[in-house]
Amino acid sequence: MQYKDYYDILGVPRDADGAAIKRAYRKLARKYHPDVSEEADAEERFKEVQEAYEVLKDADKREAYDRLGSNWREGDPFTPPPGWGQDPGGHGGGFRGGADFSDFFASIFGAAPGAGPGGGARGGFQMRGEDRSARIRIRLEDAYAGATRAFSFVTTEIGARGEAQQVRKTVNVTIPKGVTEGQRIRLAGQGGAGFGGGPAGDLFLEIEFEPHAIFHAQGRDIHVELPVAPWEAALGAKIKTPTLGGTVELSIPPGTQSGRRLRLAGRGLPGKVTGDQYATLRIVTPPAATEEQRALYRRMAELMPFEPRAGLGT
Amino acid sequence: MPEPQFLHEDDNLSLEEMARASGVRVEIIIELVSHDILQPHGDEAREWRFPAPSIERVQRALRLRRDLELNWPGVSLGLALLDELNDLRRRHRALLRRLG
Repeated sequence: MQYKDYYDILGVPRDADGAAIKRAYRKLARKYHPDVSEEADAEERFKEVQEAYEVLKDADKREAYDRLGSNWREGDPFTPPPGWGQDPGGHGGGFRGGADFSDFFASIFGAAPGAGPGGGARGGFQMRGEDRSARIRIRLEDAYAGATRAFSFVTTEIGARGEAQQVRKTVNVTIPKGVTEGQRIRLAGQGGAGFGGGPAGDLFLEIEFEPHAIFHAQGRDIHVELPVAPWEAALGAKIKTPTLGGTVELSIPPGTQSGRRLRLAGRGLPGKVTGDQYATLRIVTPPAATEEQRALYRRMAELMPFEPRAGLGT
Repeated sequence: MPEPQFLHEDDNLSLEEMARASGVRVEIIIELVSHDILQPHGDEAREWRFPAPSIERVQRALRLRRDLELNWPGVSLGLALLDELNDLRRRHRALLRRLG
């Protein structure tokens, strides 16, 4: 077990008063709260901060902690002096559930209620485990057609001896048809472990789409950029267009300009209101590689008096 | 292993179902509605219908209140700003992806 320097964790001197400790906690809590922070280790950091504050804000706990002396450094190997932690009831009052504190904390102030051997609730204390959330990346095709994907995550479980341990779990997640980016899947009971026989929290997965080579999604609508030849745009044409459901024919009206957006109704992601597909046309200039092709372009220039920059005042 | 439960935007829960699913008392849910943290459909409490993602919102609200020592108006403001931030982050990621 390692010593934890609670003063160092909160960044306050050992003689800091209650107000300074509270200020330091609030500042760090805002920074590392897992609901607020995007930092990768936010949850771990926040737990440490919470544990440090739990001890230092409480005069009794702080005094007990200070009695260990000030010669310890963060991370030093720590064995509690004989007689420590024998009376968790004495310090256990006001224990704030929902946070799994370190072994070091447990050795001084007693284990989390109910987390001890046998798992029975001491004093009837029960606490639902924390909800966790994570992002899951899926392919757009899976959102369109539905799929089952394995998803791995690390979670905390209370072991047989009451110690918290990190466990990697894999669940098969059914991705329903028509899921959109930002939508959530709830896995009941797959979040943090509960205390004292309380139920485990839930795991929430937020859907994120993998980048797609052709399409991108906005809500249930699918967008695609569609290259067309000048003659297709000028004369009109039926062209083959990829959609998530397969290739369909799209009619290009005569006289279409580059950048025009055409809608394929109902070709987006399925749902109560099925999305549409929008194809933005981009006219691609054919290369003038041979003399014959160059002659054709010159002939066009002669036949079509055309000033594309007419509106620019040049 | 419980069956994954998919939260459709159009799944709706009553006040009692909402309280049970979130593991809190009905009074807490009413409190959250009065602070605009939850926005059910329907006018009167017995007509309220909560979209399923509200369950997670209740948990977040409770965590923020407890851990950041906020009052309910503070939680309400915090969640509204976080919603906006997450929406912007999502759009930002989408734009970055489009830029390749």
